[in-house]
Amino acid sequence: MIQMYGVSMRYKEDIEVLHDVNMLVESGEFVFLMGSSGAGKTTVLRLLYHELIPSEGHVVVAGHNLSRIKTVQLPYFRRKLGIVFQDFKLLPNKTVAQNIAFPMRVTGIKRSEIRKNVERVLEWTSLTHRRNAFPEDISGGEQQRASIARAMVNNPLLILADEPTGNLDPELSLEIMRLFEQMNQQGTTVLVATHDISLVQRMKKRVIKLDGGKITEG
Amino acid sequence: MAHIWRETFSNIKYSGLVGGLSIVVVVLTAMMFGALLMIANYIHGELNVMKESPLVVAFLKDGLADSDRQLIWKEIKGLPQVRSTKYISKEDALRKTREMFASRAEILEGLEDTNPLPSSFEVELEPQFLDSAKEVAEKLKGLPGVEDTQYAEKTSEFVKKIETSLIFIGSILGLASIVIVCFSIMLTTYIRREEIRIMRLVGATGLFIRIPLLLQGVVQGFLGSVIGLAVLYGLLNLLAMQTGPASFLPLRQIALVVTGGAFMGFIAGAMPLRRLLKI
Repeated sequence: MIQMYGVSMRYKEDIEVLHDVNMLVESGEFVFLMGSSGAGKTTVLRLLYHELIPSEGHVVVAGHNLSRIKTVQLPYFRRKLGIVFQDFKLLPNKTVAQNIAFPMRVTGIKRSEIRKNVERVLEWTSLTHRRNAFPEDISGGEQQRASIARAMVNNPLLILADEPTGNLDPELSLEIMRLFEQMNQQGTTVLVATHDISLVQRMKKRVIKLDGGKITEG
Repeated sequence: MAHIWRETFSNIKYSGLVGGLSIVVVVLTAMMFGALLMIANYIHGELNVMKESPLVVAFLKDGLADSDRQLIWKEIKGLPQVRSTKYISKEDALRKTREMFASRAEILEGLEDTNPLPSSFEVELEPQFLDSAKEVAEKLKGLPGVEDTQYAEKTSEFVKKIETSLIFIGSILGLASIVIVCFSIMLTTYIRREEIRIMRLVGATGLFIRIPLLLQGVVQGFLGSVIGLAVLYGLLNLLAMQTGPASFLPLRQIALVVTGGAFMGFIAGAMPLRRLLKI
């Protein structure tokens, strides 16, 4: 599902955030990308959803060689992914249900099908009672569940989550991890970037360690 | 299509203070531009009256033969700066003077027999040659049979200056309006760059994001200019109650301001998108 070959990333001329990263994640795996702040976790994820282009090396995701992908193909590639951000990034002018429906709406799917899928993920993330609330009116845990529901609504092949429990207490963090685990059991590949070692130890999944922009384990 | 309009009006509704302020900016700019057009229309009307009055008068010697007069008339008509020529006979000159001094008619009593006023040609110039009045007057003075000439030096210079000033002020205000309206609408799009990023990351195509934002700019520009002109019309009517009737902009200029507002909104909506959609 994910292949990175000799990937280096430099910002400006001399600030190297990733150095010769090689990484392989098989389809259906659940993997943690672990490292302290500044280790390069977010850069890896941004390279995987092609918000950044590597200075060197190749990235292949879900069968797309991202070095060769054209701008017009990019939206269709991203529809195969579900992205979860640490700061949720919900659209402030849309309700919870509208936020969750958004990735389906942009694909031009029929309204009835959108409604069915939204109801399914709202129920799955226990947000049915918050469907008409705006992001600013719900708690941090609910916002994160809404962003996971949005990532999941399109049945993506791959979930990329960047510090999804960064702002949450341990109880809620575990609840969020259980949601990722359920997705993984349904066949979705999951890559979670985190610095929370205790959470990683409790989940007992494969871990790729990143330190100073280099892979040190995994 | 329904999605596009729903998205456009949702964007406007949630664009908050900046969105509201950008419409206010368009309203004020449309009012300012409309007022400028009204002033320009008024001055233009007054200038036309000035332009229509003869600018050069060639006074003829007394006792000139008809054939000599014909020759002078042909010479005047042959000048490229001349638009029209009118012959004023001695009798016409006296009649005109009587009309001018109608309240003091006694001054002109007894002049019928010894009319001292000369016959003349009143010469109207083409608008583009308004500043050539002096040159034409000198040429006419050199013609045999012409006693003297008079020309409205001040009028021609004044008309020219006013027209140049109007074009200058209009250009500066027009440019300022374009920049102000464009920047305020651009700002509405720019503060939503994070939203645009999210849209891109969940797989929205460039067109899906672009069209509602462009329409938002068009609607802001259109609404702003319509409201601006409506407020200006209301103010003009209030003013007319004090000072008497005043004429508003003709339909062609109303259409120009409204279309201009919508077009600027379109351009302003498009400008920041090029960079924001590169993600």
